[in-house]
Amino acid sequence: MEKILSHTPIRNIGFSLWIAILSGGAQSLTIGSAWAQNSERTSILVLAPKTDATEEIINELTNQVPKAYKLIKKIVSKQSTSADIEQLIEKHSPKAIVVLNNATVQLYREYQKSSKKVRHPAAVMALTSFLDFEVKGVKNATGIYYEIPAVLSFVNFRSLVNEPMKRFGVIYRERFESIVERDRVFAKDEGIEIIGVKIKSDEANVHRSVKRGIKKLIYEDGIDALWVLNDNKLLKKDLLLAAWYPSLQKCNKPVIVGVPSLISEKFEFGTFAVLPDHVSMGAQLAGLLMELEEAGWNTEDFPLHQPQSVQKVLNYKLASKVGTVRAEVLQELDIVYGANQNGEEPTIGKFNTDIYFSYDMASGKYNKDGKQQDFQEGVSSTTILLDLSLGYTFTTGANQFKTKLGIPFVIKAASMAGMEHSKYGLGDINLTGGYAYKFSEVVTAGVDLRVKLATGTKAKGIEPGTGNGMDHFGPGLTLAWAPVAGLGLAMDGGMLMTLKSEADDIFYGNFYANYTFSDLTPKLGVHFFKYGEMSEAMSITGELAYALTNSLAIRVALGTRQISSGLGLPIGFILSAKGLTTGMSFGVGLNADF
Amino acid sequence: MRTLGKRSPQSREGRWAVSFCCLVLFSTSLAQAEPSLAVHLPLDIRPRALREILRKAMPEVDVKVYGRVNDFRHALKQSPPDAIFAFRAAIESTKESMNGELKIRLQGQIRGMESEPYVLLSRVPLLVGPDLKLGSIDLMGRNKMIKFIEKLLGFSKKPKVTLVAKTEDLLTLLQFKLVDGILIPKSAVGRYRDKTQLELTITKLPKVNFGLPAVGIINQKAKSVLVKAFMSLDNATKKTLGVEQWKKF
Repeated sequence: MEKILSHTPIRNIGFSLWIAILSGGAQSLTIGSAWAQNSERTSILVLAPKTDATEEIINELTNQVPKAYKLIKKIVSKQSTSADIEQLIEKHSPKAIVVLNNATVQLYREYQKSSKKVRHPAAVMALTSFLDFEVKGVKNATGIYYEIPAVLSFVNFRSLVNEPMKRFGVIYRERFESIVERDRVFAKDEGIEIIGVKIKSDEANVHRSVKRGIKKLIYEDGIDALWVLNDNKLLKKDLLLAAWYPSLQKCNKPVIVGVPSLISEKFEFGTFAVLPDHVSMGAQLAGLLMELEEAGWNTEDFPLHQPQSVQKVLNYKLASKVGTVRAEVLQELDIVYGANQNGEEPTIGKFNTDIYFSYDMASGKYNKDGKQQDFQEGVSSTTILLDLSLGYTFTTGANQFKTKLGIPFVIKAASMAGMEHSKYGLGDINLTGGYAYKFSEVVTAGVDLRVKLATGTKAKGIEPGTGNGMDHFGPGLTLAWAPVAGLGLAMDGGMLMTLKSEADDIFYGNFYANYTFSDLTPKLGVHFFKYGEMSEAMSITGELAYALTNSLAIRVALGTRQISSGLGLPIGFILSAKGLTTGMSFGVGLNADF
Repeated sequence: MRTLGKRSPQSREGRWAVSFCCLVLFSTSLAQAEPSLAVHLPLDIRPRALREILRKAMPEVDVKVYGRVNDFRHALKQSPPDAIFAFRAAIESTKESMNGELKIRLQGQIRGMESEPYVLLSRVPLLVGPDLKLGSIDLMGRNKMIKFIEKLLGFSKKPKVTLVAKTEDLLTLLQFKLVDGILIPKSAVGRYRDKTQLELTITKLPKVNFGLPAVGIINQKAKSVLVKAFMSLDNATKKTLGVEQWKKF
């Protein structure tokens, strides 16, 4: 491509997401066509900055146009003036001018304003953000929008996940109302509703408006996904970090974006993006030029065109959080972050820490026949537990290996007949290792091995202990099922053999159901254990977790773990039991992934 | 004079050099034994995914998949492969530039048929005629493809056709009302309907049948390896390629 002006990049418009797209790298463009000398041919002037995107477009345009066209390619830079354009038009008398990028369109508009000509060549504009606005005032012009109509993103994303996607929310400035309305019409044809939150153009506190807008769309309007419009002002770096990112991180909604910088493997923001395909845009421009020739180079019947072809990008990890991703459709995507095109996830290692504090107060007991008896006056038993655990999960494809170390600290106090006894210190440490296989996006099953060591002290008479004084070891089975988005069902069960002792073995089974909405996850547990003839219980626990971020959650719970009894198994409100104390326990916990 | 049982250093180096050359020649001959296959087969899946499928299914073949017809044709000119795999019409259109070396050796079939019916899919019922604005996949390059469609549909003049590179782009043309109808295989109608909630109308084209994918061999020395590789594809791979079985020529 012939250079008429200096190589400086396009006009600096501050922090702009478009810079990344419209400027790209600084590779040189192909030098003009081989048939450029034939003056019999129809001259087409191509004005563009020197970027990767313009190179892709112009190369394909060159491949696609008929040989009867003579493409005259000129680089436009920051120093270019409308007089330069006038000179080029005078010299080559083009039938049409291909104008690429916002700065070039603005320059061409300036040229037309200063020109005294009544008739201008047909101008075909592309690679220009919000062309609706830019094209105003340019005579004999048409072009191809750069923004992909949101409906394409919606329809493509809908075909990727097995969840209903009918309501898409968007936050937009007044200025973009016409664009949202245009997309609303396309979306309606596809059975999709766009719910908008409008921000006034002169809004002083955009941070607050964005945060409130997201909250309203997600919690009040019940949208299925959020569409982030390509508005530089709403996507400034500080707004992204202080408003968009924290607000969206807490919710489990897919985020549809339109620029590559908002979707990547590491930046957990965009779930799905539909981006312009520059090569196809070159082919579309060629087709448009040929149609214009048939129309006598008059754009009167040529409204702005939608881009015909797109590139699709998915963040598999984020999409999987929303629901089941249809593996068979992944092969239709251009880029899949976090999985290959067969939906196989890469190897991931992750640590998990959990801190749990509970207070348990016994008020009576169940005797050997299962009858409940209150403690006699002056008898009480209290247990305070601080349980620290550290886990590591290693996932490769559908295989998941996990290990967890639990270290409990126990304070146990008992009083009887005016005598008070207490004990505190390390409880019985437990270690769990397991393997699970993900059979599908909804079913995971596995096996685990539990070891519990008698590191706590054993009770002596009425003197309480922080453990049960016995080592246990045993296998278990786990099964997890996520039938619909947000709902999780899980069960585990197994046995714990008592080592170096004639004591009975323990059998246990647990069932959990949880449902996540907004940032809250209530969880119900039903638990059973049987410790030979000594004791057994059927109980329920309840828990409410709140996700502070994607990797940090706090929870409050009814129920505890039988650390002080040495079993480490969950127990809560007792439905039936034998040989066990009864009472109430409350807990709070903090869980973090890193 | 040499001592028996001992070799001079020069001799040892010479042996290493000869061995190395043999190894290089052997490696080169092995590499050359892997026939090259250029593929242009616009399907719903991306070229990269198709390449992975074919590479896994036929490791003995060096497969390159092109998503755009221009890239495909450019590759044929620059470094002609041993064979090409494309829709039959696309192979036929390439023949003239191959000096008669290109011969179709395998033809894909579905239920014993070598071609499949095509239909027009549109948002409103259509009256078929040359004034319709149509959308189609580009299999041969703009000029050849438009002429091909003109002949295929039996029009008396050149139709207005918007050509796209990817099958999914045809749906976009309908969504934005950029064309009146899109030309697609009858068997693909269900897939389009799965993706959209637009009300779509099918216009049958009774005499329009389009050849299924075929394998054209340019280097006849590679024929046996390539034919064997294609014949041994499993049913799942063949289904992805849009064929059920192969007919040998």
